Amino acid sequence: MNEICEETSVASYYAIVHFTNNTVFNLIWITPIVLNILIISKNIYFELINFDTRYKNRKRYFIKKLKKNFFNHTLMCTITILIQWFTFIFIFNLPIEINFVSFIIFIKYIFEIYLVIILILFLSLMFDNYIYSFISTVALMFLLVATTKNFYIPFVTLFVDYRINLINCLLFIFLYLKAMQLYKRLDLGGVKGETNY
Amino acid sequence: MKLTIKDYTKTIKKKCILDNINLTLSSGNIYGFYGRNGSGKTMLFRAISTLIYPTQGDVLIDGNSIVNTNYDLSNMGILIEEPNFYPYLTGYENLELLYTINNKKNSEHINKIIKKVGLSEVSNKKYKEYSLGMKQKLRIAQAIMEDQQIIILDEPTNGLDEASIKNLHKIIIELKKQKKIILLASHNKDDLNYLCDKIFYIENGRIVDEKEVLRND
Repeated sequence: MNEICEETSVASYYAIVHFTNNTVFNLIWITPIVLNILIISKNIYFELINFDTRYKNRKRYFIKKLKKNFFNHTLMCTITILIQWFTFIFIFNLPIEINFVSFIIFIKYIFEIYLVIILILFLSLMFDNYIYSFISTVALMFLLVATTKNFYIPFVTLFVDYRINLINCLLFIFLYLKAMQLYKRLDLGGVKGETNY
Repeated sequence: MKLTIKDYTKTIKKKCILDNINLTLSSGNIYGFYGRNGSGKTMLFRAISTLIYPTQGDVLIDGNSIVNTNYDLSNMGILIEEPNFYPYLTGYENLELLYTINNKKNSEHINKIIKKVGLSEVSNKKYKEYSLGMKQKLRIAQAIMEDQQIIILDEPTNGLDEASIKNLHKIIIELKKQKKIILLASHNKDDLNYLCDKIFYIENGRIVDEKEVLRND
C-alpha cells in the first residue's frame, strides 16, 4: 500500500476504496457504504410511497424528498470519508492530505453511491418491492467490484479510478427521470395489503 | 365546477375494488357515501384524489382529465388517512408548515382555521400530546385551510365528541354555502341525512343505490 500511495492524492483515493484480498477487512470497510445505501434508499422509498396529499403535486414531492435525502446522504458520506482518511493517517501512517484531487474523489464517492440509491429506488418503484431491489442491487454491485474492474460500470468505477465518469452522470439523469416518471403513475396512499414492502 | 367520475374501474391483483363508477358532482352540494367497512368508499376517494390510477375510466374536473396529467391537487382538501403531522411541533406550527409548502404565509388565517375547528386553547400544545379528537380536528383543519374547491372528508367525525360533531356540521354547511363540492363518507346515516344533498350507497366497489335528500332550506 505504501508503494501505491506515493502520491498523497492517490493515497486519499485508496483510503476510500480500500479493497484487498482480506474479506474481513473488506467487509468492515464496505459496511458504512451498505448502511448508507440502506438508510437513504429506504427513507426515500417509504417517504415516496406514503405520498402526503398536502404537498398537492407528486413531481414536487419527489424532487423535495430526493433533495432532502441527498443532503443526508452527503452528510453520511462525509463522515465516512473523514473516518476512513483519519484511520489511514493514524493507523497506517499514510501521507494523506486534502487537496483538489481529494475533493474530486469526495464528489465521485457521493455521486456513485447516490447512483446506486437511485437505481434501487427505480427498481423498487418498478417492481413495487423495496427489499428485493435493495438486496439484488447491492449484491450485484459488490459481486462486480470483486470480479471486475471496469471503469464504465456504475459504482465499480469507484474502485477503478478517481476520475469522474460522464457515462454514469448520464445514467444518473436517466434513472432519476425514469424513477420520477414511474412515481407519477404509481398507486399510492395506503393501498394497504396490496403493496409489497 | 363539475367533478366527473367516468366509467371508473380499478383492479388490483385481479380483484375489482371499484367497479364501473359513474358520478357527476357539482358545486354547492354535499355528497354522502355510505357503506360498510371495505365497501370501497375510501378507495373511491383515493381514486378522485389521483392517489390510485384507474384500470379503466377517468376523473375529470370541468371536462379536463386529471388522471393522465401530473395534476396539482391544490384545489382539493383531502382527509383520507392520517396525515403525517410532526409530533414535536404544535398544532399551529404543523399547519403553518403545511401552508409554507405551497409558499403561502398567513398567520391570521391559520389562527382563524384553528378557532373554527375548536383548537384555539391547544394550538400551542405539541401534536404528540393531542387526544384523538384534537388530532382529528387538526386533520379537518388541514383539509379546509387552503380554501380548496373540492373537499374530501373520509369519516371526519371519528374521535369527535357530540359538541365537536355539531361544530363540524356547521363548518361543512358553511363550506357548502361557499359553493364547494363536498364529499363525505360516514358510517353514520343520521349525519349523512342531516348534511347531504345526495347519498350514494356503496357495496363491493359498486354504487348500488343513490338517494336525493329533500330538505326545506
